[in-house]
Amino acid sequence: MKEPTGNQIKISLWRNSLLRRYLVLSLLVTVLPLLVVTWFYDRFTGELLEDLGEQKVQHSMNATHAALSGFLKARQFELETIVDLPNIERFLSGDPLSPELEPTHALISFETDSFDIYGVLFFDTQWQLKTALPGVASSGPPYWGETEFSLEGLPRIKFADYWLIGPQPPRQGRSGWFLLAAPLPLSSVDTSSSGFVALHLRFASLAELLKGQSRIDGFTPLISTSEGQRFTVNGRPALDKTPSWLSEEFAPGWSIEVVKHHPAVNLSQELRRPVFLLGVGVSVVLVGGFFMALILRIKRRFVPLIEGAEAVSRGDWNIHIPPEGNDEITLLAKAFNRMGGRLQALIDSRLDVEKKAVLGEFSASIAHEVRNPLATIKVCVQSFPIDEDPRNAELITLVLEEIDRVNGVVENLLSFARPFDPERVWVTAGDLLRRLAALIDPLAVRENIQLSLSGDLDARLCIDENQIQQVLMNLALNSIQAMPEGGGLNLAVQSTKENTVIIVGDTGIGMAPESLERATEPFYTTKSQGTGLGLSISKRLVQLNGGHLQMSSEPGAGTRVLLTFNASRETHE
Amino acid sequence: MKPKGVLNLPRLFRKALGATVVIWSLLPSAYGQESLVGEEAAEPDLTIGCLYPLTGPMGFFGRDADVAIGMALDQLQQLNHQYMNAGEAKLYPRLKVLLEDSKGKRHRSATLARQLVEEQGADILCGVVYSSIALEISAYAEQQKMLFIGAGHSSSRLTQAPVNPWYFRVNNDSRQSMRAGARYLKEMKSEQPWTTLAYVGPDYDYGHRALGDLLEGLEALDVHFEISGEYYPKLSEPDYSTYIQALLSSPPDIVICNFFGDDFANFVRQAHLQGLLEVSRLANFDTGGGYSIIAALGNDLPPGVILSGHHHNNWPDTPRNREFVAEFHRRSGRYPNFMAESAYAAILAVAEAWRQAENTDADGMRLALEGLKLSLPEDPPGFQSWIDPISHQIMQVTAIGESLPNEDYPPAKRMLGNWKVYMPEINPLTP
Repeated sequence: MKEPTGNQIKISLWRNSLLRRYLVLSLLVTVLPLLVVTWFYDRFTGELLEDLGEQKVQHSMNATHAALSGFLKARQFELETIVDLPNIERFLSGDPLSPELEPTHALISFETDSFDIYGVLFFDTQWQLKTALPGVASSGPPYWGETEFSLEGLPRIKFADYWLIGPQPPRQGRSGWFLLAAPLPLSSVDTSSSGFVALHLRFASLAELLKGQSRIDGFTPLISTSEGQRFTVNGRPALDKTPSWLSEEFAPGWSIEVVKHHPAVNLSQELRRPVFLLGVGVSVVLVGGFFMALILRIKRRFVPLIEGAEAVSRGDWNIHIPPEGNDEITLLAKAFNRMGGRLQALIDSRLDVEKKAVLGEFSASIAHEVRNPLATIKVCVQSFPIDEDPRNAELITLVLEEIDRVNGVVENLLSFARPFDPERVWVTAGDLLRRLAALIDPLAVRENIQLSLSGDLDARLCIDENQIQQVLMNLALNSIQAMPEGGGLNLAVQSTKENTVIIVGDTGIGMAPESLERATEPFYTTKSQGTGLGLSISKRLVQLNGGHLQMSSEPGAGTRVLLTFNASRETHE
Repeated sequence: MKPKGVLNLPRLFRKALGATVVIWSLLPSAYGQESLVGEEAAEPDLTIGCLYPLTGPMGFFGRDADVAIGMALDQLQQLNHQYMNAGEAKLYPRLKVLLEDSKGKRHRSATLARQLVEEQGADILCGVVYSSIALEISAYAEQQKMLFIGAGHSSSRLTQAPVNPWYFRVNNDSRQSMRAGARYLKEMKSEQPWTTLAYVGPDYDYGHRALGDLLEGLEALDVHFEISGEYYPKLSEPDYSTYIQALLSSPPDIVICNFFGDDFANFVRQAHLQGLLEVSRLANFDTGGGYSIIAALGNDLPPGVILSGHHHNNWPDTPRNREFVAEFHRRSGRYPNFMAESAYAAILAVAEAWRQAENTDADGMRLALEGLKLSLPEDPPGFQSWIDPISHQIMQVTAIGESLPNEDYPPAKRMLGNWKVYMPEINPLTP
C-alpha cells in the first residue's frame, strides 16, 4: 500500500481533525446564540418598547385625565366660593378698594392666591369687563396699563353651570390664558341679571399637567380645545399636525390628545442600531478568529507528536520532540521522549545480550574445538627430538610461541564469553595505580612517555583487584601504543561522596568519532595485530565490578578513559 | 370702634425683624438745639412702613433688607453727628421704620400696607419684591397721595407712562437692566456671533415686561436676531424639565433667563444637568448675579454664565462698597444680596429728600425726590446715582459679568468677573 505524503497527512489531518470539529462546535455554541439573540433583539425590541410605551400612555391617560379634570374642578370650587361671598355682585360697579368691599375683596384674594390664577374678572351680562382684581401672577391688561380686554372671537362653551372661555393662545410678551366663569347672583335691589365673575387662569398650568405623559418616548401629549387648536405641555401652540393616536375629553370640547411618532432621536441614537450590529459582527469575527488561532496553535503542538509516532512506527527510536511550554501536551511530549529512549535502551540491551550469548556460545565452541588440538599439537611439538640444526630449533620455538599466542586468543575469548565472577574488596586507587605504574614504567621510559599520577590517590573503591588491574593495564598499553612519538600518560583519580573515578589520559593520536563509537564492540580494532577484544573485555569487567566505562577522544589531541565506580560504603554493604 | 384688620398685626409685628427703629431717641442732641428743648422722647419726623418677605422661599431678601435698613439708620446718625459738628442747620430726619413680613403674598401685602398707613401712621411705604404686588401698592399709594419708595422689584411698568407721581424706585428696573443687556449682546455679536435667542421668564408682569424691554433695546441698537422660543413657567416652579427640553429641541445661541432667587438657581441646575448650558450661553441681566443665588449654586454654576445684579459685593472695588459689604458681614455673618443695597438706598433717599425738601410734607418730599442725587455703595468712581424726575426711576450703572471660580466670599464658589460696565442711557437734567 502506498504511503501518504506529508501534504496528504496534513489534509487528512485537517479533514478528519477532532480540532476542526471542536472549532466548528465552539463557534456554533458561541456565535449562534449571539446571532439569534441579536436577531430577536433587533426584530422585537423596537416593537416591544413601542408596545410598552403604548401601555404606559394608556395607563397614564387616566391619571392625566384625572389631573386636568381635577384642576378644573378645584377652580370651579373656588369660583363657587367666590360667587357665594356677600356683596359679590357689587364688584361689577363698586370700587374694589372701598372699605365696604374690602372684606369680600380680602376673601377673594385669599381664595385665588395662586400663581395659576392671574386674577378675578367681573363681566356684565354682555360680557363686557367691568372690574379686574389682580392676583399675584397678574400681568398687563386688564389689570395694569392698557385696559382694553375683549372676549371677542374666543370660543365660549357651557360647562355644567359654568362657562369655559378661550383659550387665548400666548403672544409675544404674553402668556396664554382661559376663563372659567359663573353667573353672579341676582342683586337684592335689582332683580335683573347681574353678570358674570370669572377666574382668569394661566393656560400653561393646565397644559403642564401633561408632564407625566410627555416623558414617554415616542409619544407627545397635547391639549386640544374646542376649535381644534392644539397646545404643547408648555402651553404653546403645537406645530405638530400629526393626527392623534389616542384622545380623551376632559371638558366639553377640550381633550387630551396623544400623538404617536418615531422617537426624536439624535445622531448618536440613529447610529445605535448599525453600531450594535457592527459590534455583533466584529464579535463574531473576533470569536471565530480567536478559536481558529487557538486550534491552529493546538494543531501545531500536536504535529510533532504525530510525526514522532510515525517515526517510531518506521523503527526510528531516536526521536526527540522538543517540549514547548508547560502544559499537558508538553507532559505528553516528555513522556513520549522517555518512552522512545527506554524502548531504544531496551532494544539495545536485548541486542547486546543476544550478541553476547551468540558470541559466548561461539567462543566456547571455538575454544573447545581449538584448545584441545592445540594442546595436543604443543605436546607433539615439544616431543620433537632436539636437532643440531639451529634452524629446526628456531622453527620449533616459533611454532610453540604461535601455539601460545593462539591459546592466549582462545583464553581471551573464553574470558569474554564466561568471565569469572569478581571477588570485590576495598582497595585504594593509589595502590592500584602505583602498581600499574611500576609495571609499565620501563616500557614508558623506552617509548619516551612521561608517566604521571595525580588526584585523590587515597580514594577507595570496592573491586576485584586482579580484574581492574587487567583493565588498567590494557588501557595503559593502548595509550602507549597510541603515542609512537612519545607523550604523556596521566593516571588520575577523582573522588566524590558517591563515586571514585579513575582516569587514564594520554596525549596520543586520538580516535575519530566513528572509531570511538565502536571502540568497545567485540572484534573491532584499528590495529593490524589486535584481536578487537581488549576494550570490550575491559568494559565487561568494569560493568561486572559495578562501574562503567566512558571514553572521550579527539583526533590528534589524545584519549581519556573514565572508569567510574560507586564509592558509597552503604551501596556495598 | 376701629375696624379690625384682616390680619392680626400685633402678632405679625412680633415676627417682624427690626420691627421698630427710632434712631433719634438714642441721640437727643441730634435734631438741633431748638427741637430738643423740652422734648422728653422725640417723636419721629417720618414713619416708613417697609414690606418685605421675611419668611418663606423669598425670606432671605427681607432678612438682608432688615440688616441694611439698620445700617442706613446708623449711617444717618453718624452723618448727623458730622453735620452738627460742622454747624449744619439742616439735618436728617428722625425716622421710624416699621418692617413687616409680607411673605410674598399679594393680599397680605395689600392689607399690611393699609394697616401700616391707616393704623400705624406710616407716612411712606417702601420695599416689595414682587412687581405685581408693587403695582397694587403703588395704586393704593396714589389713592392715598403718599410716597411709595420701590426697593426690590423691577418691572418697568411702574416707572413708565402713566407714571404714578407718588411712586419712586431706587434700584434699576428691568428696562435699564435689559437695555444694558442689549448693549452687551450687541458687543458680544462681534466677539462671538449669535443669531438666535430664546427667553424664559417668570409668568407675571415682571417676566413679561422684561422681554419687552430687551426687545426694545435690541431694536434700538439695530441688532438682528431671531427669537427661537419664549416661555413663561410659573413662579416657584420646581420642575423646568419640559421647558428646557423645548429649548433643547432647537437650541438657541443665547438663552435669556429672567428668573430670580431660588427659581433661577433651580433653572441653572436643571439646565446644566439636561445639557442646555453646553449648547447655549445663558444670561440673566437683572438679578441672576445676586450673591444668594451664586452662593446657593456653589459649584453647580458653571463658569461663563452671563449675569448681573442690582448690586455686587466685588464691584465696584471702592472703599464705600467694600465698607458696605464688610459692615453687613460684620452685623449678620453673611454677605449681602442686592436687596440689601436697595433697602439701604430707600432709607437714604427718604432721609436725603427730607433734608433737601423746602417743605417736608408729602408733596415737598415728592418734589425733592425728583432729580435727587444720592451717593450709594454701588456707584463707581465719578458717578452718583440720581432719580429721573420724569419716570421716577433711579439711574444707576449696570455692571454685567461672567461667573468665574472665586472663593473670596464664602460659601460662594463663584463670583462675577470680566466686567462690562454700562452707564445709564440718560443724563441728569442740568439746572
